[in-house]
Amino acid sequence: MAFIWPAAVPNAGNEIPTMLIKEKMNQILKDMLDYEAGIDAEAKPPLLTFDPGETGI
Amino acid sequence: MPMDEKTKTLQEDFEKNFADLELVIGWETGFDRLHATPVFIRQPSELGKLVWNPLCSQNLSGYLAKNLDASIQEDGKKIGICVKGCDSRSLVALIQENFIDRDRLYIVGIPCEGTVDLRRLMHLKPSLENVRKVDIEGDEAVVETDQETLRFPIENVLARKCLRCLYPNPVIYDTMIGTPLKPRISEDKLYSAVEKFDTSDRKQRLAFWKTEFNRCIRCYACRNACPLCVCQDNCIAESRKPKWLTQRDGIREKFLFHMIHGLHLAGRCTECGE
Amino acid sequence: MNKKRDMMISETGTQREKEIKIIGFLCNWCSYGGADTAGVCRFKQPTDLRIIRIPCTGRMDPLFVVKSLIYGADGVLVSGCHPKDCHYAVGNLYARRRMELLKRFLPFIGIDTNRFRYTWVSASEGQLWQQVVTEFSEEIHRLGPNAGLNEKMDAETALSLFNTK
Repeated sequence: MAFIWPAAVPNAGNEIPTMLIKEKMNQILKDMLDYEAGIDAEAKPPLLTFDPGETGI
Repeated sequence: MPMDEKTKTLQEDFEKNFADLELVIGWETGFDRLHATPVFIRQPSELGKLVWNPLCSQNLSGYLAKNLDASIQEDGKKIGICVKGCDSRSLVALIQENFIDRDRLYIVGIPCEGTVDLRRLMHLKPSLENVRKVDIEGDEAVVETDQETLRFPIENVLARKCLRCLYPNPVIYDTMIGTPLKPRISEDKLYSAVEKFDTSDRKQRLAFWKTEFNRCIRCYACRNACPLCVCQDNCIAESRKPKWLTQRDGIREKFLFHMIHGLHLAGRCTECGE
Repeated sequence: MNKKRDMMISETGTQREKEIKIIGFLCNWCSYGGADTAGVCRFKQPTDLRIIRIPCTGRMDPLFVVKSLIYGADGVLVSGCHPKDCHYAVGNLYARRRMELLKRFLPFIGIDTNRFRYTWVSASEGQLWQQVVTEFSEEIHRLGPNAGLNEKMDAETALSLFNTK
C-alpha cells in the first residue's frame, strides 16, 4: 500500500509535522468528550476534571 | 474591510483607550515589509508603529503567561493585546487555567483571512525583494513589490494552520476590528490529514515518525514558542529531578520529547501552529 | 562496527523472546492488594509481570507508559481501584480519561495499542487479578517481544515510505 506522507500537506518542505500529533490528540478528545480547547473561558479543560457518570471508557 | 483600514482602526482604538492601558502588544513592520515582528508599546506616541497584515502570524498570547505579570494590578491598568481568531483561543485556554486574568486584558480581536507562511512564499519565489505590501484578496494572496504585483493562490502560500482554520474570528474580545468572516473549511474536514494518516499501516506510521523525529535537534524552540507550554524552567524535558530525558541524542529521547510536548498539551492545544 | 552492534541487538532480541517483560503499574490500595490476595491464595500467575507500586492511578502519567514502550517494555498494564471506589475518592476518574486518551493515541505514533491495557481490580478480587494477568500475558506473548525504538529501521518499511506514487 502506498504510504500517505502527511508532510505533503502544505509545508515548506522540511518542517517536522509535530502539529499532527496535537491534531490527533484534539481529534480524540473531540470524539471522546466532545471538547474543543480554547472556546469557552468558563469550561474546564477535560483532563483537569472528571465525570463519575462516564461510561464506556 | 481592507487591511490598511484595519491597521488604522486598530491604532485609533488603542489611542482612544490608552489611558487605561500600561502596555500594548501588537505587531509592527520588521526589518523589511515582508516581515512582521511583535512590538511592545508603552507610549501613546508609538502607536503608529502598529500594523495588521497577513504576515502577523505570531501568536502574542504566549508573552502574557511567560514574560509578563498578568495578574490584576492595583492601579487597574490593563494590558492591551491584538489577537487573531487562533490567538484568542490560546488566550481562552490560558484564562481557563488561571494563568492570566481576563480583567487584566484589553483584547482587540481581528477577524483573520489567514496568514502567509513566509517559508512557503519564499519557496515559490526565492528572489522576492523590495516588497511593499502583502494582502489577501478572496482566494489570492497579493504581493506588491516595487517592480510588480504578484498573485498566488492561497493554497500555495497560506500557513497550514490557516488553511484548516475553523475560527477565523476571535472567540473572546473587547473590541472587534472589522466584520466577522466565514471559515474556509467545514467542520468535518478539520481532521482530514489525521484521518488520512490513520489509514496507513502501523509499521509505516512508526517508521514515519522515526524518520521525522530523527531530524529533530531538540532545540526546544517548539516548546518555547508554544503559548501553552508554561512550565518554563521546570519543563520535565530539562529538569534533572525528575529526570525524563538525558543529553544523549538518540531517537528515543527525541521521540519521548515530542510525546512529552504532545501529551502535556492534550486537551489544551488550540492548534495555533506555533 | 555498526553491523556488529546490530547483530548483537538482534541476538539479544531473539534471546528476549524467551523472557517477556511486562510492566505493571498498580495502585497501592486496590490492585496491589489484589495481586497480594492472588499470591496469598496461591493462584498460579504468569511470571512476566514486573510490578511498580503507585499511590493511586491518579499518579499515572501517560508518559510512564510511552516511555516504557519506547524503551522496549513488551507490555504495560495499569490497574487501580474500580471507578468510584478510589481511596482518594476521585484519582482513578482522572486516570480513566488519561488512559483512554493514550489508548486511542498510541496507534497514531505507530505503537501497538494492544501492548497497553488498563483495568480495575479491587483488593479482594484475587481471582479477577489472576485472570487479568494471565490474559494480558498471553496477549503479549502472542504479540512477541517489543523492539522498542532503536536507530535501526528495517529496509523494507523505510523504502515503502518513499514509494508514494
